[in-house]
Amino acid sequence: MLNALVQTEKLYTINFFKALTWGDWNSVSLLSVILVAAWLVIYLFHLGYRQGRQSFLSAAWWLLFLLWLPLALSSWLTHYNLAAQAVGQAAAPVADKWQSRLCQVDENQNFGGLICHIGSTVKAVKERIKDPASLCQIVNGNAYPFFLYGLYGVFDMPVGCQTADYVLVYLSAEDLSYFPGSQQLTITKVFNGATSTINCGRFEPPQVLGDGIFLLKRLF
Amino acid sequence: MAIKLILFFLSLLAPGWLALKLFWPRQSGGILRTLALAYSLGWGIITVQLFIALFWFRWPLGNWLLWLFMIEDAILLISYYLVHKIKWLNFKNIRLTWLVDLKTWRWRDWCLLIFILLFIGVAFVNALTEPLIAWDSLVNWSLKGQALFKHGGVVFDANKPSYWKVFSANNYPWNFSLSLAWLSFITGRFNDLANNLVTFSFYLSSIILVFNFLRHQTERSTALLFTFFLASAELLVYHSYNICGDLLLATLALAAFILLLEAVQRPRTGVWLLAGIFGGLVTMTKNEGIFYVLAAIPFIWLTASGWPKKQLLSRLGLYAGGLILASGAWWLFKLTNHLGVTNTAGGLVWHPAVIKDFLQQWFAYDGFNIFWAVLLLVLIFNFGTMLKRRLLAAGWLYLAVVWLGFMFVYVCSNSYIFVVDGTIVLRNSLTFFPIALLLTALTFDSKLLRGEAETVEPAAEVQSLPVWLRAKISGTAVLAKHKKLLKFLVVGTSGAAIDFALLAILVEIFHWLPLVANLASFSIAVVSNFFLNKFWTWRDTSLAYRRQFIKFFITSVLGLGINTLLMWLLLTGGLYYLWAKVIVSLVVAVWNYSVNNWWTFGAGKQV
Repeated sequence: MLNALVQTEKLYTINFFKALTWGDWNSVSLLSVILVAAWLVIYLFHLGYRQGRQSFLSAAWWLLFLLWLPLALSSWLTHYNLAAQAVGQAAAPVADKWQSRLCQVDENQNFGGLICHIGSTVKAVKERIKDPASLCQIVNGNAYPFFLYGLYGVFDMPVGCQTADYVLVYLSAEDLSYFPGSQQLTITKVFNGATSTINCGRFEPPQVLGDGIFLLKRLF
Repeated sequence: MAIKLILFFLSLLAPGWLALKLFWPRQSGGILRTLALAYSLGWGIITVQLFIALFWFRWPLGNWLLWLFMIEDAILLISYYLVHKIKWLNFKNIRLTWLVDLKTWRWRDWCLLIFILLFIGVAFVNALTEPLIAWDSLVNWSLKGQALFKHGGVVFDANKPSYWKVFSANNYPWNFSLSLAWLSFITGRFNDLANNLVTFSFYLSSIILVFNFLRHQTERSTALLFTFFLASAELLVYHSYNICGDLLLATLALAAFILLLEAVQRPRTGVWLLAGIFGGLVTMTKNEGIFYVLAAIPFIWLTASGWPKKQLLSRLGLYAGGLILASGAWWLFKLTNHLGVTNTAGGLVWHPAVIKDFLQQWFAYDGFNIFWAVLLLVLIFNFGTMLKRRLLAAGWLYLAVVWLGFMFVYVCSNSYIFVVDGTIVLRNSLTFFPIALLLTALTFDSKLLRGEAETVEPAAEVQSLPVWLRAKISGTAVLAKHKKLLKFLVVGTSGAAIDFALLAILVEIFHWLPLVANLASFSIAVVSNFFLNKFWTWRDTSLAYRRQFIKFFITSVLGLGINTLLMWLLLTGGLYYLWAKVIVSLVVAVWNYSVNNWWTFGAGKQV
């Protein structure tokens, strides 16, 4: 069940941009403190000199605008850089753009290649399996939805691997065994202290797509 | 591809535009607002029908739907003609009023407009070029759209890998995914970049709706400034090209709120129905949308309490009818399929510890720039003025109910327990951000407050309100009596905030000893409190600063002593420390207020 997956906070939208900091200071907090202090000063000044509300509003308007601007400009530049990069590869297939974005996220979040290789693996799997088929994935939990998304349009994607035509293994944390003699693929799982072994059936020897990345075709 | 995309957007805009014209023929918002509302409404009309067809009747996606929608458009057009007897679509009324007065714009207005357009531009380019990447974009929304498109409908066979219940957040409303499937059906293929255009259009709609509303209710430069805040909020811009239900919910909730304001200001049958429909669409977009409907209850109660009972009931009936029309099918489906109300199954829990993460999410992430600090400042400094205007007070009450709803979910349920220490608060805040922004702008500089609004508050007079509320809202005797006390409490709260913030900064960043830092932060807070109380609370303009400050300082230090002593007593007595703090704070507030009133600022001498 997909619902059972652990969702990784780091892969949520807001984390894709690194917060702007000045030294040890978080920019939002710093600007907020400046805002409160400056607002108070302006307010007291206007009260003290009995200036009208309109005059205070005008000063407050500029204060809000000027303190908002640094982060807004920084944000715009971030979006602009993304856009400029994407326009540079406008003619490239969407899959290539996806791959590029995945690698950016991987680098930003220090995933050590976990996310980066998803795009190229999806591409390789699509190239190797031309006929309609079912494919199950035994992958690192964080990468699961990305593969599901990348491959869903082409393959049937059952959750269990006992019936799938192909099995994709990607940096899996699970204990997988392939026995060349019997050509059996087994998964050993430990749940609540109890160990269980699932026999997925007979498969051709694994095709290596990368370090820790394999594709296995079922033998019928 | 471009023609197919146009066809898709036309399939949304046509029913939205026609329904809007049918139910609200004489709206005065100009063509851009009409387009923004029509897009949101049309999106709702189409997706609700898709939901009924695919989920209730289990019919497949097909060309028959396109024909059905075209027939409906024709029926709406004929109805419009028959009901309003207006030739064609009354295009004579199409106006770009804000463009007409461009000659009067000042250079800072132009600057802001350029900034806003720069953000819209960069969001648009990214929408056309950036594939989806975020977990929630992929799993919660887009994948389900892909599945619906791939199978030409919903898979109800539990043995199939694409069974609808295996998808993450299947308990979420499916509208958004249905619209993506509809887009894919029309264009012939599932495409990330095309999907982005759906959310980009909602982003654009929210900007138009906010500017259009504020243009009438505030000075132009204020309207532009706050529209700039909206257009440049990082999370909002990011979601404009990374599809997310929160952005849809934000825009729909904004539209529902604006329509509700319109409905109570200038009551018309059609507007009440539309307000209900938008309210229903809000609950059809995400489960949390229910808070927005709940918030409408006190809002209506507060603003419409002067109306005759029969009139009120008929309008409430229309509102409820709209709600049911838009969301009845979804809630019935939820009920019959035992999907529950919350996002994930589970019951009530109590974990207040997560509150500490919230402050960080609101005041330390870049997602909304410094907006939440702006909101607090504007609200605190205009609290009394805000209370005098019923509509504004009702608006803030609406926002407070929505906010409390979310707080309840985080602190008292396990709906978001798995991400509540992450950024969920920030992401959910996006949904009420445009409404909060609207209210902040109105409170900051409102023609309503100065009696210059183009659309002024009508209807119910203050006399028709309950007595206690009349006093609060209209600024009559009771409010006047307690005005000074209220101001004193506001100043006290701001002082406490300064005290806490400075203490944290000095200890955490400058590594001062906590006791020394406490002395400094307390002193600065006292200084701030003194000046605010002198000039604002007591309106004292005398030049006896030194004498008054010494008195004020002595009172504060004694207050601190009472505070410490009482805390020690109550804690020794076994009271929970937070309850003890509440009691002590009340006692010390009474002490400080009384002594300052009679001694420091000399009110006692006048009596």
